Amino acid sequence: MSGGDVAPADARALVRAALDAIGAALPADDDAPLGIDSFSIVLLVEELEAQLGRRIPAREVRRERFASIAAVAALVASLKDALA
Amino acid sequence: MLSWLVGKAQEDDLALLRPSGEGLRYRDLAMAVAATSAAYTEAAGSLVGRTIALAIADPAGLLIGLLAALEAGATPVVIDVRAGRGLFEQQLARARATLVVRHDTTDDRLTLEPGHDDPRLIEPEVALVLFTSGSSGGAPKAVALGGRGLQHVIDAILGYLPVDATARTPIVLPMSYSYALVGQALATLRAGGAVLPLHDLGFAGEQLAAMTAHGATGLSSVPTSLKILARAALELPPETRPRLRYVASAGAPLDEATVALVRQAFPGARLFNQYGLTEASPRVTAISDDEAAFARGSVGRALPGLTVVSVGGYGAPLAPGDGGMILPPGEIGQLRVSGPSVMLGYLDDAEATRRVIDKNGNLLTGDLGYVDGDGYVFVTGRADDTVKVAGERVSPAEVAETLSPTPGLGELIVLATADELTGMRLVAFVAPAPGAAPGLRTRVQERARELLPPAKRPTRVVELETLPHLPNGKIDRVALRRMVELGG
Repeated sequence: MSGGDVAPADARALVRAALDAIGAALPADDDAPLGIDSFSIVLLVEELEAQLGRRIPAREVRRERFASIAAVAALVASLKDALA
Repeated sequence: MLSWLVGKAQEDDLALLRPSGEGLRYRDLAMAVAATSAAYTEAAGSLVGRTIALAIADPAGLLIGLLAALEAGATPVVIDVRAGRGLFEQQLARARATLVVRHDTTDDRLTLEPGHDDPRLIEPEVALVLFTSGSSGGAPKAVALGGRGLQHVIDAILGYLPVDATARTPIVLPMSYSYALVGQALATLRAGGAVLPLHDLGFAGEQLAAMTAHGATGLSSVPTSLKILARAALELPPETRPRLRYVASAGAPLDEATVALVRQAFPGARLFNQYGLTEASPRVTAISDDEAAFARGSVGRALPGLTVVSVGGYGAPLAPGDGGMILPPGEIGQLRVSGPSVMLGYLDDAEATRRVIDKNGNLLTGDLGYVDGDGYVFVTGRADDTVKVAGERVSPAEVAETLSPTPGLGELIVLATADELTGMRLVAFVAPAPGAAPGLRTRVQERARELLPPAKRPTRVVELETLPHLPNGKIDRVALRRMVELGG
């Protein structure tokens, strides 16, 4: 699937788990703004990289990619697809 | 101070980039500063000997607000808007400002509000007040910096860093940091160069694109940020990376891996390692990579006009007012700084001031280290329990104290653990009080988000039924650290 498609549930769960692991507040729903500060973005990327077992390219770490759980999950799904 | 800062600049030269991408020339900057200063005076009358609290997230707005405060004869107090609500309110209260300046993001303008009910009078030699975190007790300390000291440091920085009227200096750290505000932004204005505020640590790709687009000439940051930017740069073709004259590090130890990454990413840049602290305005030492001691991990020699020595001995706390005994070259002690840029003191905290400034006006840094026979300074650790998380000084004990009142909390310990990217990070272990409602971990996380700035929040909160204890009753830190290492 492409990064812009609806991410599968496991990718969303992985993002929620990563947010929880770094102590960030979980948004009301998957499409709501993440609302996390830039330091937390760094931690979230690090946490996702640990869970995925690969680097997330800096070109993918953009505001719109980290706008919501759904957006991050789409990124995660595309990276998983790239690994497959 | 204001005319000293911008007096050298050419009025048609670019001074500052606004968030909109609009560039302000020095002429425009002067007009914006004059208009803002006039608005301050109109709102509050004479501000000479008064403080103005700047609670402004936009770095360009903060710079204009600060220069306008100096123009009005007031002392600017920079509030860290990223601090949690508790610290933010404490900083605002400590400022006891006549005016509070905020930034209205909807139309990118500064708004003025009446300040404290009992605004302070401040000595005219205090040119700037910045906050730094306390090593214990959690109360932020308001560092009063003198105009003469700031001028001394800024000119000393311009003596080694290749920043001149052609400089385009990106600011990738919060402007409330002395490192960003004094060491980069004000130094660039003094040189007649342009300040490019780009703060958004999380989006390195965007920062790099902006640096390239605006012709950034150098980069100063903390090692965590340098590492993130260097990694991101290496994904780009070399011709699209910013062409930097220099890359400078401060705020935390500069490790070899980061040096290697930076060299690979920005091959034409000279590297600098630096040491300083807000209480010293902030820069104390610097070294470039063409000096042999750079590779040995030195932070350099003292800047002209400053002296650094190591005093006392490891584990031998000094009494308030005691500057300690100077140790021979190579012997580790507490680093002590002397010179015109040592702060005037902590506002309203004579006791804390006495703990760090001895009877001869020397500053005890709280950092451990040594000075070798050639005058090169090496930093080896801290004399207290603080650690550096992404370049920010953090006390696990202070964090634990802030989190302790969480409802239903039985026991809590906050440990600092090593992290490849941020240097250190905090992990909190919690156990509920008997009969506590479920959800302790969530309540602790919520309290951390509410009251602590990002770098001070535990990145993991682990809830256990009970915390492990040693036979003497103390919490078993070793067992908990092992749990972290095993990913438990």
